Formats: sequence, structure tokens, C-alpha cells
Amino acid sequence: MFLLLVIGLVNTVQAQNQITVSGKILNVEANKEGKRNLPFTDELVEVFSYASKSDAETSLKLMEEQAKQGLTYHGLKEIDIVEADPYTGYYEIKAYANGWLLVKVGLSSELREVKNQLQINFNIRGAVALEQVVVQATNTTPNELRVIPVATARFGNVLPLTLTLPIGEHYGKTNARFVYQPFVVDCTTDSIEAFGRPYVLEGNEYHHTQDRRMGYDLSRDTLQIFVDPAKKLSKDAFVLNYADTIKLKHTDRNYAVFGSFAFMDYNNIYYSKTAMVNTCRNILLMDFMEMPRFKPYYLNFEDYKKIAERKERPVPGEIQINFLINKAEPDMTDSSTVYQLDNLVRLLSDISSGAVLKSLSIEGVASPDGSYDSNLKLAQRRTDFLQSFIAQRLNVRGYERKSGARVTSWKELADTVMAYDTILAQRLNQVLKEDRNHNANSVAVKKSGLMEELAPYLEKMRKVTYTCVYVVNRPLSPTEILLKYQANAHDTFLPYEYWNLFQMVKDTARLEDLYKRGAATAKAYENGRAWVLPECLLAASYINRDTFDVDLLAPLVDRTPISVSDKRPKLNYVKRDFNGYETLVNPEAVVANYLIMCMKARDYESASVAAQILAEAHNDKYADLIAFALCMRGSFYNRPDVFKRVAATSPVNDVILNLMMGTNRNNAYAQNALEKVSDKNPLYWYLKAVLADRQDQGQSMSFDLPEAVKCLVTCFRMDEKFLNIALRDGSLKEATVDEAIAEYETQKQQ
Amino acid sequence: MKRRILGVLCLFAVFGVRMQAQLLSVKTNLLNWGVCAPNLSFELVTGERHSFVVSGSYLPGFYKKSFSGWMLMPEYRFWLSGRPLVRTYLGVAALGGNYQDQEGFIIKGKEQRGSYAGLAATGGYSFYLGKRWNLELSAGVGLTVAHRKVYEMGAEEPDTFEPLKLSVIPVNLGITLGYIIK
Repeated sequence: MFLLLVIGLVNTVQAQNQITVSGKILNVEANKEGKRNLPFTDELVEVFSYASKSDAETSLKLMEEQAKQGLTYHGLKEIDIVEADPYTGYYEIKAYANGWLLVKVGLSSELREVKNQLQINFNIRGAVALEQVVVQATNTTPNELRVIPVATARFGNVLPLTLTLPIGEHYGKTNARFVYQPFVVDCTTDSIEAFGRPYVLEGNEYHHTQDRRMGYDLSRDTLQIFVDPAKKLSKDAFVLNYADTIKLKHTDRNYAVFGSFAFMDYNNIYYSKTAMVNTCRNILLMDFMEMPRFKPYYLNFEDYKKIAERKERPVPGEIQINFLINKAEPDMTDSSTVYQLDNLVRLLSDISSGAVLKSLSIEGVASPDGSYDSNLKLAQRRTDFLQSFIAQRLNVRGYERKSGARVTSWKELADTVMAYDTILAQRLNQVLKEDRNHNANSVAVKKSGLMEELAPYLEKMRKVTYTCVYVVNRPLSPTEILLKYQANAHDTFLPYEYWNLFQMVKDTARLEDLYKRGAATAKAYENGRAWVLPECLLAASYINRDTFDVDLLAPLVDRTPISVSDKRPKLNYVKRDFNGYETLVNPEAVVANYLIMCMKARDYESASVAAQILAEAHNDKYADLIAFALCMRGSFYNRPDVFKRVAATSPVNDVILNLMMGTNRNNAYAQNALEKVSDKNPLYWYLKAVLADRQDQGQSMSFDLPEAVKCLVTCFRMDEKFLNIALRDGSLKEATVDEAIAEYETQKQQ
Repeated sequence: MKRRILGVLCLFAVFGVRMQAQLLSVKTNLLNWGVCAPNLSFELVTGERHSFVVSGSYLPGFYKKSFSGWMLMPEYRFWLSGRPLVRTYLGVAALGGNYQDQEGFIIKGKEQRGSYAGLAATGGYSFYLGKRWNLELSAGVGLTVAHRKVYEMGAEEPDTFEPLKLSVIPVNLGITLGYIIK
């Protein structure tokens, strides 16, 4: 349970640790007479947070230049911007734990490094700032670690586990170890879904005296690999900064995160606590993202052509030739006869040029009109004609010959007629109802006057059927392959034949069946080696039908890095196995289609891995696909390029991504972007409710419904499905949702 | 002499049984060196909180020619901290040895020669200096029985021994530097 979830992927995406820093900005001038510290009441006090000192200095320089020119500063590289409260000097700002803060009061400014501190006060006198006053965060109840559960975002099947928790003095000791073990609980079943990577901090003495224990073996200590090498536990206060991600089984359930904290010395666990870190109300805003319908990608057919093999197999054939009445010669005015003869010649040519004739059966059939004996002789003559016709053109020996002749009975004729003309057939049957011999029936039919009407059917009875069994000792041509498929779609085909059929068959359902069979056949032919082409084509077909099967291409995408020095798996690389076979691993189209199907399945963890592989192509045609895959996994927090690209695809996406950033500044951007979303869309009202909920500090004394509640009610009225979503969505406060539902139910009853 | 050698061998045999991944530490009392008494101790960790020590010291008379002797002290230690060779311990020890006092250090004006044996309660604190180094502060009090001859200084040594005398003495006073061999 202590295994890392993503193996070998060094670049597992983790959000930078964002913390909320607060404090007071006080005017020392007011304190000259010994009064208590007072805030700046007459001047605007702005606080900016930056990722690095250089960002802060660059922005400060720009601010000063623009101030000189009388221009307004609109921001450059800020993470967040807030104003201090003019009455208390209090500020609260989102910053990176290792970032920087810039305080600007009039012409004065001061830069401070955050250094994991949650509370930083500034004492500023005019243009000069005094030394830093830092208040270490302390717990109000010294004997109890206080963890305030918050909602966490869920990205499809990925749940980030993050925690920034100040831990006060005297919890730790140099002869103690601290272990933080998070675990994820499925809120639907109340069972533990997964354990996160443990975080272990050891005191100096604890760490170095481990092997003084009886029989201690470092290699068997399962927690050793999780010990933080950069920090040591001591009695001083410290900030626990934890980040990990968990892959979830279900993309439609909510999950809570709990954490077990334990401090243990040599004797026992002297403090332990299990607390909820993240509530069951996951932030589900990402589920509303508008994803484009990505088209599938295709491999080059020629690159995956199978070798045409020579195989022996029997292929039956049959022709029908119409003959002139009472003659052995064929009716050359009949186009069908000419066509059949031409086909036969062609077939015989094929035989001559490479196939092996096994047997040839010819049966001459005469029509029933006339004398039985003379008709039989006629049939025999026709059989002889065809035999000599074939013999003249066929330069083959050693095949089995069978010949026969027969006369169609009047009953057979009546059955044939029945299919075309029931009344005529009934009249004929009436004539034939007496039990007579063939010749007598012939006379009776002649006398009945039906001969003229029966003439076309009698022609059909004059034929020679021919069955030839031959073995093809060469690859079938595409035409032959198609004919074979049309004759029997469930016949067995060789990989080469499948390769041709993939290009000739047009029906989607049939093609998918061919892809599956082709892949299986090729695998059987090549000792289990997969044939990528049909798998990729099948995936493309699924994508076109807006369905998915992630397991289809998963075995074909190699996620392991090539070597220790490579940070990610390779795209389009040639792998040679121990048999010497070369395989192209991770072809672009396969990885791209796999990525698309993962996105459809909301398996964003696998999608982001595939996106990182695909990024190696450096091809703009994948840019949107990669951006969306990384975005849906949560990479937009520290990838401005991903953020920008995806936000630009639609106003809804712009709103959602800005809301997900969670800063005041981004909330403002979200507000602007929301103006572009149609208010006829219930999602507009839902997002508006989220925004209003954030802006509502709960200090309003008005009796009117809060804006967030009103927006939610409007949303529920437009689409009730948002009711269930709001109940589970941590983007909204629980009280807001409860109030909105109550109001909606009340309005419904009215 | 033979009995002494046999006794030492028995002690090593006790410690020699079940030498599986035990930690062994070799130590020396710096205070003893201060009085020119070479000494060596071996400590064997036998459990999560237990260890056995065998200490031996010899006072050859370099410091004071008129006072010499040797001592052997096996000791069992229980580590209160929960981890051996770290922090606080309490122990029980057996001790024994020979001594010769020709200057009346023990009883003024009287020479002594004899042997002693006894039991002691010990305790100490081990400071962690590094992965393999320790510094111990130790002390103890022992109840001993002395088998000795006491006579006037300069007088001839008598043939008979004094009756056995029970004494309470400080033992194991030390600032000991240890090195862990593993």
C-alpha cells in the first residue's frame, strides 16, 4: 500500500504548495507617541504575492516606472493581489510556500520571503520598513493538532492529496519520528480506497541511532524510503507540506481524505491523531469543462502491411451457361453466358498460372420438354462440349474429372416457376397431377398450351453446372480477397488478406469485426506479437462512434522510460526483442488515440501520461489534445501555457479554470469571462452561484436571499440535475446549497 | 590463576552464545586513564532495551607505586530510553578484584592486601556523539566483601586474614568513551 502510484514517472504532476498567508501591515509612525500599532488609514496598502524574488523585483520596477508616468499598474506576474483592511491593517493572500510577498504603501514597498510562514506582519514607517516581525503560527490548544477539513478538487480519476499544516513546538523531539499517513475513503461505501505515500520526519538522534537496535536492518524498514532527507524533527515548530496524488477506481464518486499523524520516540507513540483532511464534498467544477470532440488519428497502412503468404487452400467455383435449344453450343447472345464463359476462361488462366487443380465436376442439365432420352443425350453432349472447352484451354494434368447429365423433371420446373408465377405453377401442377412418366407428362404439358408461357423457365433449365476445386499456390489478389469475403464473411483469412479487407470493406460494424479478427489472427501467426494497425483502426472507429475501450490500446502504449536518464517514455522508438524482431513502440497515432479514449473514460491520470509521451512529437496537431489532457489532470496550476490554451477554447472553460485557481484575482477574471456565457444555460447560473458564494463573507445583515442562493435556485429551475450535483460539489458551501434547495422546494410547492 | 582465567572464559562464553546481529561496543573509562589505570570494556546489545557489559581495569602502580590492583566487573544494563546505548540506563553488576595498599590510602597508617567481591547498582547516561560514538557518564554504589590482611605500615605481613568485612563503596564512576563495532 506504500507503493508509489505512478511508477518510473519522474514528472508526476504536482501542484506547487499554495498556502494562505495573513498578517497585519502597521504604520509605525502612529506609534511614535507610544500608541498601539495602527494601520495605514489614509493610504492604499496593496499586497502582491510572487513565485520568485525576480518576479517580484521585475513587477516592482514596472510599478515604479508606470507610477512615474502616471499610468495604472495592471499586474505582471502576480499569484494574487489583495488590499489590506484599512481599519485593522489585516490582509490575507494566497502565496506559494517558498514564494515572496511585496507590500506597497504609497511610495514605500517592502519585499519579504514567505519561507513557509503563515503569518507575516509588516511594520512600515514611511519609506523605511523596519526589521521583519514574524509571528510563528501556534495552535490555540497546544496539546492538539488542529486540522480544518477543506474541499479538494477531483480531476476525473485523480485525487490530489495536499496538506499544509503548521505543527507547534514541542511535538517533535530529536529522539522521535513523525509519520503522516493519508488515506482516501470512498464516500459511497465508507471503505478505504487507497493509501497515500507516507511522510516521515526523523530527529537527528533517532535517525542515527536506528541501527543500535537489536537485529535492526535498514533495508527492512519500510518507512525509510519515505524519510524526508532535507528536514530533521526537533522540538521546534515546523510546517508539514505534503503533496501526492491518488488514482481512483470510480470517476463518479466522491472521496474524503483522512490523515493519521503519529509522533513516536524509542518507547512508544506519544501522540497520535486521525483527522479528516478533505471532506466528501469534492470540488467538481472540472466535470463541467467543455471538451472538444477530438478526431482519431491513423497509422500509415503501408508501414503496417503484412507479407502476402502462399498457402494452399481449396476454393470452390461454379458457373452456369445457357445453351441453345436442342443444341450443345452455348447461347452467345445471352450476356450472362458470355460473362460466365469469360470468367471461366479467366479462372482457368489463374489455374494455369499458379494454382493447382484438384478436381473438376461437370453436370449437364437438360430441360424437361421433349423426350427424356433425347434430352439426356443432349445434356451429355453439353457436358462433353464443356469438357473439351476446358481441356483446350487448360494445360493441366492430374486432376480428378467427374461428369454427369440429367434431365430436369416437370416437377422441378413447377417448383422453379412457383417462385416467379404462382398461378402458372398451379396450372402446371394441375396438368402434372396424374402420375405419369416423363414422356407422358411432356405430351400432357404440350397439349395444355402452357409451353409458350413456360418457355422462359425452360431456358433456365438448360444449363451446365461446373464445380472446380483448385488450390491457389499464390497470394490472393485484392479482388479475390474481397470475393472470398463476400462469399463467406466468416471465413478464415490471413493477415495479408485482412490488411486488404481493411481498405476495401466500408461498413463500420463489419470493419470493426474485421479489425478484431485481424488482430487476433496476426497475434496467433506471430507468436503473440501484436499487430498495431487493426487495434489502432478499431480505436479510431470507437472514437468516431463516441465510445471507448481504454484496455484496447493500453498494452500498446509503453509507459516505462528507456533509461534512468530519460525523464519520460519515448515516442516512436524502435525496440528490438531477444528474437531480433524490431517493433516500433509508441507510434504517434496509437498514443494519440489512447489519449483520446482515456479522456473519454475520464482516466485523466493515464491521459496525462500519454500526453507527456505525445508531447515529444512537437507537433501542433496534437497541441489541443495534449493541453486538454494535462489540464484535466490539474496541470494548469503550474503550466500557464496549458491554462491559456484551454481557457481560450470556450468561455465556460475560461470561467472554470479561473475559479479553480482560487485566487481573488482569478475570481475577478472568472467574473469577466462569465459575461460571455449565455444566461439561458443553467451552467451559467451554477457558476455564478459559485462565484457569489466565494465573494459572500457571510457578513451581510440583509434579510434577502444571498446572491449565491438566488443563482442556484434559478439553475435548479432550469435543470434539476444540478440539484444532485450541488449536493456533492465542494465548490459551494453546504449552507448555501441547503438554503437553495429549501428555497427551490418552497417555490416548487407554490 | 587458572581459576581466574576460567572465570573470564566463562563470562565470554555467556556473551558468546547467540551472537546474531548483536551490536558490540568497545569502551574505555577516561577517568581511569587519568589515574594511569588502563581499562577496557565490551558491551553487547542483547535486546531492545538490554545489554551486557564486561569491564576490566588494572592499576599497575604508575600513578601511585604503592597502590595497585585489578578489577573485573560484568554488568547488566536496562535502557530506560527504549533504545540501547542511547540516553539513560540502570544496571546491576558483579565486581571482584585484587588490591594492594602500601600507603594507607584506605585506612590511614595501615597497609592492606587482599581481594574483594560484591554486587553493585549502577546507572548512567549515554550521549550520542555520532553514528558509532558515545560518551557515557556513569556511577554506582556497591556492596562488597573484602578478604584481606591489614597490618601496620612497615610491619611484616601477617599470615592470617582479617574477618570478612562488608563495605559500601562507590563503583563505576566514569566518563567513558565508546565506539560501536558492528
